[in-house]
Amino acid sequence: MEKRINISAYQQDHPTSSTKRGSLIRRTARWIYFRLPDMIIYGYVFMYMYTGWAKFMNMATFIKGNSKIPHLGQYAKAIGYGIPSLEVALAVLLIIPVYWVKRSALWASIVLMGVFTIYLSLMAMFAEKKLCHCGGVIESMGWKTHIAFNIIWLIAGLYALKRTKL
Amino acid sequence: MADSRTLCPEKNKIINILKFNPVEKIKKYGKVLLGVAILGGAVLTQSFTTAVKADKKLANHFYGYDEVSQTYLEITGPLDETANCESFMEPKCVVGTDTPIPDGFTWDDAQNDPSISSQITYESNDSGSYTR
Repeated sequence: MEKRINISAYQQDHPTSSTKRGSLIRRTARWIYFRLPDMIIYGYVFMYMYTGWAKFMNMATFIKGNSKIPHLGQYAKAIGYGIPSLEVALAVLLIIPVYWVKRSALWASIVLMGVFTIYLSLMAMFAEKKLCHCGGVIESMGWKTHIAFNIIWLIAGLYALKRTKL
Repeated sequence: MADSRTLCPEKNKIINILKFNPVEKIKKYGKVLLGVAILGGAVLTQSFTTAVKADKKLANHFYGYDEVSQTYLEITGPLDETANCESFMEPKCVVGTDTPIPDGFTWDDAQNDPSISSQITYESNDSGSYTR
């Protein structure tokens, strides 16, 4: 009896995704479904590179803004250099085609996104003068929009993590 | 002692085929190229979206001239130099500083009060377009 062996579970072709079967919409939906984890990962790559680079380009403003954060202001320089470096590093690590590197980077990305979401929520609830130095067009979002944006990416990241598990 | 290589010879055969399969290698490096393209795209997008701010200086507090009170009041919303400056004859219709100064000052007050005048100087080297 033949034994079916899964080599790459999340990229395995489904028999009915063959072009000879199913309508165009169904084939497109199946194509998106099987590539959704990769699309989420590339979304993280784009987002972290964009915000990290934006912070590097406006380092003075970023550090100045960090110095005004309650309890964390004394670590403004460390946060100012550390966060963008981490974002750029994660963006690069997420494109490396080694399973354990990519998975670790995805884990770290999700944790970082969670930290940002918690920071935004605390700022929105407690801070009189709200501070957000996120970079680029993300900075121009309203607070609720920004929190919703972060939560969506957090859920997407967790979904990608689950789907890419071997 | 039995190990995975003896227990699953078929799996190892398939893994070895995939390792040396050129199509799989092309797919792998294609993904890396796509990732590099996305990194480059992110950097270009960031440059494009922040190009407007490139020639502007930074400050944390902005005071615009208010015609009703005839004093400078802090601007907390978005900065609009056209709206804040049009038809005003004041020497500096929008003043940018790093530390807050009391609302409702006049230009003369600012020049006479050392705590304020030390922060803002008419047509100094710091003059120019400002943004947060």
